[in-house]
Amino acid sequence: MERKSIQNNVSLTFLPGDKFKRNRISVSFIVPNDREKATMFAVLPTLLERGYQDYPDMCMFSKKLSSMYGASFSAATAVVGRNRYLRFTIQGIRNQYCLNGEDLLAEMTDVILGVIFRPCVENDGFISDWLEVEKVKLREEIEGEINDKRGYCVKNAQRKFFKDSKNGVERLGYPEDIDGITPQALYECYKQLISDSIVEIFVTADEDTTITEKFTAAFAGRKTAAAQILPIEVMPKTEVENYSESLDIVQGKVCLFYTTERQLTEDERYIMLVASSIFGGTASSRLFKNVREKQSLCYYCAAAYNGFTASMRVDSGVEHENCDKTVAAIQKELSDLINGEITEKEINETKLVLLNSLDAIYDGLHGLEAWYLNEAVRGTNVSPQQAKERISAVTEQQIKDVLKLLHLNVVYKLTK
Amino acid sequence: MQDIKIIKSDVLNEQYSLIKTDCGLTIACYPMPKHNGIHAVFATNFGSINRQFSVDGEEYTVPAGIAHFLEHKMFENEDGDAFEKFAKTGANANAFTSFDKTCYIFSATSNIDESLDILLSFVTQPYFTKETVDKEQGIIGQEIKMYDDSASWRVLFGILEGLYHNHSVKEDIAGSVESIAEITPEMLYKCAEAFYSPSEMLLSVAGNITQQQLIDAVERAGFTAEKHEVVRKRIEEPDEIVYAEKSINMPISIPLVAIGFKEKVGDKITAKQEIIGDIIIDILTGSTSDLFNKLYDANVVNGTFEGEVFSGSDYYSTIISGETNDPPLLVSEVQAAIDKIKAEGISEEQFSISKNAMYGSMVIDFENMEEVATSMVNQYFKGNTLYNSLETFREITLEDVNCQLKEMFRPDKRTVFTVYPMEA
Repeated sequence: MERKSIQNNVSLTFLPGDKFKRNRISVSFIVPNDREKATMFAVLPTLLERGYQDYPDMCMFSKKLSSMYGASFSAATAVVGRNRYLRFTIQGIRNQYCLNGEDLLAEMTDVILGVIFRPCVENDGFISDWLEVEKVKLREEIEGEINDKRGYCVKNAQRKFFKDSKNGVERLGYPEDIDGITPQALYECYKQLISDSIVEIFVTADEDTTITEKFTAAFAGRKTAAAQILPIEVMPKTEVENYSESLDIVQGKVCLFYTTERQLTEDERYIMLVASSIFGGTASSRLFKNVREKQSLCYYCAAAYNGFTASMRVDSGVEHENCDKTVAAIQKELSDLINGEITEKEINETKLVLLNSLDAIYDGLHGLEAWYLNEAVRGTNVSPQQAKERISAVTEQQIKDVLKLLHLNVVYKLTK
Repeated sequence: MQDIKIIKSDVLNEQYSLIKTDCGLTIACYPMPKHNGIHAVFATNFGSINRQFSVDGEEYTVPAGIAHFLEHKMFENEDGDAFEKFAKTGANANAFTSFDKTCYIFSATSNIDESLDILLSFVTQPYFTKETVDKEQGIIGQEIKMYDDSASWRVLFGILEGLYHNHSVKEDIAGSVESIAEITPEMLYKCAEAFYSPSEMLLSVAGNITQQQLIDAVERAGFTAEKHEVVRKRIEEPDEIVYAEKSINMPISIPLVAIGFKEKVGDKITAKQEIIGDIIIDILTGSTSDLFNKLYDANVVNGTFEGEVFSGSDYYSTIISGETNDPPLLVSEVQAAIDKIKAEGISEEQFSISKNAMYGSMVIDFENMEEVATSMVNQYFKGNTLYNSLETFREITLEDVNCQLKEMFRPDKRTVFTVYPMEA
């Protein structure tokens, strides 16, 4: 891995890619997850993804990508803690597999820079017709949340848990804000994004012919006055809030959100990784073995810790009449871990799963990119190898201690 | 003595081996030495569609969902379940059943030999009791219910039920709560005997592995060569469809519609037919198509719009689906685009853009261990090599494509299935 700053607040990380058939370039703009701009940031990637000045039409741009041996381009937004990413990604086969000797990597660089820096504009704003289409699509996507029942239950639980925190500002924005977005306002928002954000560029490729040079030139002279990454905000402990929503579904859903009340230290974060995996992160976890297999209470029951919001989520698909029983069973498993024995075997086996998954990061085209992007946002620079050492050192007592920090704030049930 | 066959690709400058071992088990080994881990698949050519078969001349008809049920039960034997055993090695294990196969898989970066031993021992040591079968009926019942809430799953089977009279592909892979209630330990033992003998199975591994490691693992497993005469019965399926249109209501935000065509099936579906189908569907419905771009900008469809070739050894259909606020308009626009492309034929430019993109997507398939190991299974059971598609693809001409297009999308073999939101 080779990381360098190519401009104030713009870093480029080069990752080795000779084991893959593809090269990949991604550019992530990181900004605070503000409520006011959420909807604009949700629609912006979909608009930019349609084309740019060299290919000023969705169909033309698609044909360009197809002719580049089906290179894939995507623009998307994600919420991570109190920050938001807007990420542009291009992937295409390595030059050695091109049939006519093309320098596809150079072409990929030109395309991604073209989309980011030379969007199609008119009257000092984005193209109005395009924006109107994408506004309809965004509204449909927001309304479509209910189509995935598991995700719908989790999102509603999350809303109750995060309340007004930036942690909970919607990734897709708000339907009531859609109509008010004008081509000009969105273009201003775009310009601000380009100038006032933290930028993380990742190149996973077998060679760097002109990429660094082109990116350095593209970001030259950039103003970065307001760029910042917001630190973690931990949700305060509350009385357990119980919510129940009625929906005509075949399988009921339940989701629980816990807070750790305070931010975990770096060491504690790794301990929590092991602890949450023992609780409900693997196929031999307590939730899987006891709640699903032994008690047959549900089809799935999984726990996941999110270090960016210092929260743990458990979600489960259940028979409607078993909703309350499942919640009680989940709570019992947590209490048993804190108060009962956690065997050495259990701990070692869980560590082994985690160590395996850390080694496997190197085998995926965007594995290392995702890892180091998170490290950058966290302000740390730990490699998966170093993470393995920290995980290996975790003890039973440490696991119990971090689990004691968990406090249940929200239970959300989706049932008939 | 093993029979080892090396299969090479000039395009990729790579190779893999197919090894027939003494016990009858075949091993497919694709070394990817730069990777840290491996992905292993232990597979049998037994899926949800194999409901009628004969073993050594005796005929059987089994309930819908039995292959999937067996998959669940195979991961459990007298001394515990497979997940517990794999936990000791740190491997990430799972299993799945599709229409035409059942696969037991793990991926791992360490303790590879130990994980291979677990994989090979579990799947070939069936252990079923009435009690464990009863319990599994509850767990699988939950799984079936989860899929019942998925509009896209319901639409797929709505189309398949509309297209097929007899073929088991129209039945949910997991069966129904009623069909799995009929399953007994005896039936499971019979299916295991038929489809889980070494000669019916393939061990397919890609990643940081050597063929010797796999040969050694199979030797350690100590399989005995046991061969049954297994014949999967081909079900007679008329060319006619079952219904032309149907709809249901579910709690969703926007209607979801699918248009399915039952395509002609000869003795066997060939790789060439499937690839040509993919090219045609891409040109008709993909991101470069006039149809998609027009409907997207008219707000008739969104990013969920897609077309696919849905095929297996003896079934072939094309399905075009997507969310829309105006299902009748979407159906008529799709039909108009089909009529146009059939009348005008595919142009050289369309063909060359699509073929170019498809070449790229085929190359990409070889970077991912899971993709490679799974594709080796798919191609092996079809009697092809892994590089078959890459080679067949190069031979395909515009004339081939236009010729097949004429036979496809027959108007009287069309079914439309729509899921509407609940009525207010």
